[in-house]
Amino acid sequence: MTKSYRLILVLTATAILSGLLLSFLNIHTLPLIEAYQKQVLNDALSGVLPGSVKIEEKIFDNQQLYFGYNQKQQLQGIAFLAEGNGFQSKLRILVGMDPGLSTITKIKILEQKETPGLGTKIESDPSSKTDVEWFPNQFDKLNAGKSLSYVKNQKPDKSAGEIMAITGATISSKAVIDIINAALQNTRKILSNHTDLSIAECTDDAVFNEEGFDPQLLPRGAEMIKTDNKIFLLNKDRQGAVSDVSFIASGEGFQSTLKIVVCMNSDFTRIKSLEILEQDETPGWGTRVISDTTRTDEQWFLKQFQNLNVATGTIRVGATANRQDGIVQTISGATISSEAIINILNVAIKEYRAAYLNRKVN
Amino acid sequence: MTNLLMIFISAVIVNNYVLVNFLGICPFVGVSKKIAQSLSMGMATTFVMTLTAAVAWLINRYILEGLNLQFLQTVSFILVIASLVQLVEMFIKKVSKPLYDALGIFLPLITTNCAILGVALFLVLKEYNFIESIIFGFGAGAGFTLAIVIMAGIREELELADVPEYFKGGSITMIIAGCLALAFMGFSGLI
Amino acid sequence: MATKKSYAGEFLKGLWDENPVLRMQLGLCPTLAVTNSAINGFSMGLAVIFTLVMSSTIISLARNIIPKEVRIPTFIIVIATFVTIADKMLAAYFPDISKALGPFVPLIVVNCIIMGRQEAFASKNPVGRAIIDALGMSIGFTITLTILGSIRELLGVGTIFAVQIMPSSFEPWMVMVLQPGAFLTLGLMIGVANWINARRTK
Repeated sequence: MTKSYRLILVLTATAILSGLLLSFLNIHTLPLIEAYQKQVLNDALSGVLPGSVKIEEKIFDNQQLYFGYNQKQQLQGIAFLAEGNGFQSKLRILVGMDPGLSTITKIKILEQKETPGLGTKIESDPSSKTDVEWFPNQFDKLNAGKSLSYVKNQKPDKSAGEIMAITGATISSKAVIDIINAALQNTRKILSNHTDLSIAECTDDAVFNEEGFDPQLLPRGAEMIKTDNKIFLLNKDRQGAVSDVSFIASGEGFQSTLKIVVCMNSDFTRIKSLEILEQDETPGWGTRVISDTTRTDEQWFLKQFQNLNVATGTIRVGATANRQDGIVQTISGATISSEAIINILNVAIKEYRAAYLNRKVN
Repeated sequence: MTNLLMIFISAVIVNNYVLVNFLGICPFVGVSKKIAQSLSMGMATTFVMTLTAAVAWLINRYILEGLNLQFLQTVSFILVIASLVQLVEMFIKKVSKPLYDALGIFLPLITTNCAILGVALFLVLKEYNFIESIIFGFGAGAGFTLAIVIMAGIREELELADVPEYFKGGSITMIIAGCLALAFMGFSGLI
Repeated sequence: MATKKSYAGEFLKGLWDENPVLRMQLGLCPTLAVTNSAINGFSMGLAVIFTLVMSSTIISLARNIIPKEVRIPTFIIVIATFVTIADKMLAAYFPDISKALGPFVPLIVVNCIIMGRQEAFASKNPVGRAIIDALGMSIGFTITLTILGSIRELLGVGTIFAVQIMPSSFEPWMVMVLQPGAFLTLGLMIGVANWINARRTK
């Protein structure tokens, strides 16, 4: 073996061995590293979106947005990442807000390498006797209707979006505010470009009572209108366009009066959701319309109506359910109750559609 | 344009490689006895750093990220730097004798200068684009040169000073560097 | 390495006589950069112990196979491999420490101590001796870094390994955990080490 062959052989062998060893290592450690990063983000997300049981990540224009939903699939809050330069390092901040992006719920500093002992107080202040996280905690329930700002040596006004800057680290404090302001503006812009992300998907049934709607409980962005003696609750998106309409359909069931909250899209071609407000049907039989204990999915009957196409004008009964054709299945053993609901809906949708579409718009 | 200027100033002054990021300390202590010598060292380092920044960016983008081999980052960067230094040395030797005499002896030292590998690792970390990476590499080199020349200037004067015996050499160099770092802290927050 | 030392001597030289940081002034970048707290200095030391011992073992075992002409690139590949292993292990099992040390873990590759020991020792000595030498050097490095980190943490924050030492009336010297503090403390430590050494040899 000549000398130069040996040189090449040794170097190549070393490189191949090294590459093999490292790729084995990579296969082993990569999932752990990724799991940790995911864990950090998830912990932070559930911190800034309290009350959300499900958090969905969506990406728009390269910006990640996190939508938090409660048990009823209602939007509870929106979180986004804010990034930018601090005093001497890059800051990454997770900001949780209400669905209307008007109030900050909570923030979490994910990454910072500011001046130890001064700028690091934006994350935590170990020297504080009362609250080590007093700076980030100032953002809890902070009004963000206008841009955030900071004050020094005076009590900040939370309703005006003010926080108190850290003594000795004004630039770091200001950087946090500037970064959040910029990211908030960007997020608002993204959401307004995507009108399908309405503020709320149908109204919480807590708003409804025996008489109809409780105006005291109207959620933000919702409006109540009355036309032709019929009451509608309108949910609006960010542009102010109506995203869905709710009303109450009532009629006779098998042995009681039924009241059903119906939520539809604004041109009345599709049912978004149903909620039975009041019923007194035969226990164990008719009550299956709400919860059918013979099935694993106890709410299967009402769920058939979600996203049901009613452009043809009537909901029909069929052997197999078909959303696109507006066909639903009845409950065996509670056929009359099932058919009663379908009839009530058919009548109500027709009446309310006519009243709503012919209303006088002022 | 302002962005590029920011990166440059940040690399030279605000995040000075030696005094703020603690990179390239070994040559900073070892080769800072004479101004002329330090200037050559600084120039050689700047040259290699700029080149490394460009090559490291390309390798990271088209080989490591392209083939999903980020775990080979350290290995491939250090090999590239070592071969790059070797190539530069051979090239300068062929092309310009005076330049080789000025820079030549410093080139092998540069391979184990952590500032060079630092440039490669930082530009990936900071997600710079190609042009930004080159400016960053050049700025980091200029910052290194600035620090080492200032240091050499002080050490030349220091020969006339009465330093306590045990603090001569590395010790007093560190203490002076501490004072310089204190001065450079004044720049932080500039950008 | 003409004179053969005993194993104990080989180990102990790294702790004092040839202490890489205080006496030889090698590996200064990580020494200065990560010692703003005792735990960071200690962790960096552990990463260096791992890398140096593993690299020295391999290089010493393969010292008769590696041709002289390509020894430097071979050393570099071996070192870089173990550094990457240390880096990924830290990231996977001790993410907080990995975050604190940042890019200084991959930078162990260019730590002159490691390359220096391969060139000066491991490539010329049998494996047992090489391991002892590597252990001595890297433990000497770790002890120095831990002391440096402890001094800076004590004066800069008032704690050591995050345990409160200073009374609450103590106003922390912020500068000690910042960059100048690293240079000043190390400078003083080198000076004091020189002084102790002079007294010892007298």
